[in-house]
Amino acid sequence: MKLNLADKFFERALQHPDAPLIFGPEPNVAATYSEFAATVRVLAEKLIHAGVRQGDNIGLLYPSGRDYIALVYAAWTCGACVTPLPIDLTAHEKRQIFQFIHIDGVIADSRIISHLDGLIHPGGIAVAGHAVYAKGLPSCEAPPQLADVNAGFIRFTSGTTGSAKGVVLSHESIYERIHAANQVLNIGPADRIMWVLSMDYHFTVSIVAYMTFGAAIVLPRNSFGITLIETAARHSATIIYASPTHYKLMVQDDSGAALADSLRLTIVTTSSLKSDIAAAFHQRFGQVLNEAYGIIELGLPAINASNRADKQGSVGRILPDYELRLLREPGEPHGEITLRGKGMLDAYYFPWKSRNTMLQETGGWFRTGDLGKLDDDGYLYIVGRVKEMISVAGMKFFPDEVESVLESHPAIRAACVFGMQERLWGEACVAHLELRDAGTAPSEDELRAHCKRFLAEHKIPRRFQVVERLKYTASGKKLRNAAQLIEN
Amino acid sequence: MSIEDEILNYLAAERFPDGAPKDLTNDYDLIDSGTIDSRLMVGLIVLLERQYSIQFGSNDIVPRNFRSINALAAFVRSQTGGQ
Repeated sequence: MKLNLADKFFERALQHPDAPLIFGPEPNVAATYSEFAATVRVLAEKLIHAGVRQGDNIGLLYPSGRDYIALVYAAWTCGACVTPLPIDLTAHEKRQIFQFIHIDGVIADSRIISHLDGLIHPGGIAVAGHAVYAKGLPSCEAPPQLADVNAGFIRFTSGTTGSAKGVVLSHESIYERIHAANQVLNIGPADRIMWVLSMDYHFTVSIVAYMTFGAAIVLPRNSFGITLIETAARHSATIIYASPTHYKLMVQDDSGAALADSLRLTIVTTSSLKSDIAAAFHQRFGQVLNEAYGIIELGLPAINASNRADKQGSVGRILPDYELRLLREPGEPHGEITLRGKGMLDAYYFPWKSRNTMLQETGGWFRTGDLGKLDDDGYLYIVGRVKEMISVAGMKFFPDEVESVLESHPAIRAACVFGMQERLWGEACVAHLELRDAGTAPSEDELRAHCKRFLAEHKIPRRFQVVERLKYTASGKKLRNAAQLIEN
Repeated sequence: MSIEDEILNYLAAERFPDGAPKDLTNDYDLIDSGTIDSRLMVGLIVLLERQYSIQFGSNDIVPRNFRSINALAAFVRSQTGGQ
């Protein structure tokens, strides 16, 4: 019988029915494992009646929160796979997902289901609360090899590695990843994890781990620093899982409120942590921030759970279930991070490339595209995050996508988009533009309006700068290194 | 369009696409009512920074500046010299 992560949750609920599972986001609202399991089962029944079948791929367009979790588990209970349709994407971007990923049906918030007009049958069937289910209209075909994978999640990416779109994760791979991560996290029934990130982008090695290992999830009402501190304290959180921005908001709170004594880990993901935030957090709360190295293709192969102030800035040692190899040029202290280990993606969806094919091409190692170095104690430091990926408030995207939109403007010959460190949101997106006719530069307002038609807010460049010629590397690729571009 | 209308339109579109509450006025408590969640917070910041060429520092992202449409508009005005 195939592994199903929903079954693992139901087993846990059977063993510990009264254990708390979710607190919040509304005050005084909580659910136990058995209550939530009942909710998931009812939802699954409704989905089956609405037409969801084993092996279907279900798009999920829903705000993060308890309903989101219940809907994913309900789809899994039906034997279906889930593809998040991130809520912050524009209609154009959501449409793009349907162009590459075969979607049999969609569970959506009825208030925003119009984002999918033309992609699904009109008139969805109410499932629960605001959730409705609608069949997808015929779109692209699923790759035949998908049937051989016990797929639980397909995460659409606009191209982490070149043109590949969509990372396929089986239940087995996710299960391997959460066990690999838990060798360091040691999550168990005594843990309460305060969660603040978007579930569209973070789910598999986090929420699934908590629900498999019997922990509780604490959902705050909003992300004000004071709300995060008070919520963590009220629910005696043992772990916080957040982005650097959230920790900065907590540090900046001037109420003097303290975090819970129960806190044992403050995990940082989504973008690299600045040392000043880490130092300020340590000074204010006496807690070392724990950086983690998350890669959608691999899970969490490194987590710095050492709580050592002298190792702040490192993502920690490589976890026991992974091996690291740095591809170093002679004389260089750092090199490209390549990894192998448990829970690797099962395939890229389009064009289909299985894990085996991928590993055969790369000698058995996964090339991350990140640069790293190791210290004498084996702690890994990320020197440069994924070379060209931009992360705005934890929402990641690639420059090619923004460049192609800019280059569709009639006045623009070529565009180069890159991220620049910004004090609050991690990175800001900046565009250098080469014009077709040097005398006819479109206004910033016009460029923003143009971008807004195709791109989510966070992908729209904050600054546009006209340049005479874009810069290229020796091998002819666009130079997207902010330091070099700004210096020059 | 006034700053207040800009914010109201954003909230109506993003938070209440099927109809805003009748008492959603400029004094409506956006925090106690649960209107502003984490996603909407980021959305409002991105919108106002872009629209009015201001920048929220992390010590500006506090409940008093987001309490109501009026409070948000007052913050924007304080950053733009009252324009």
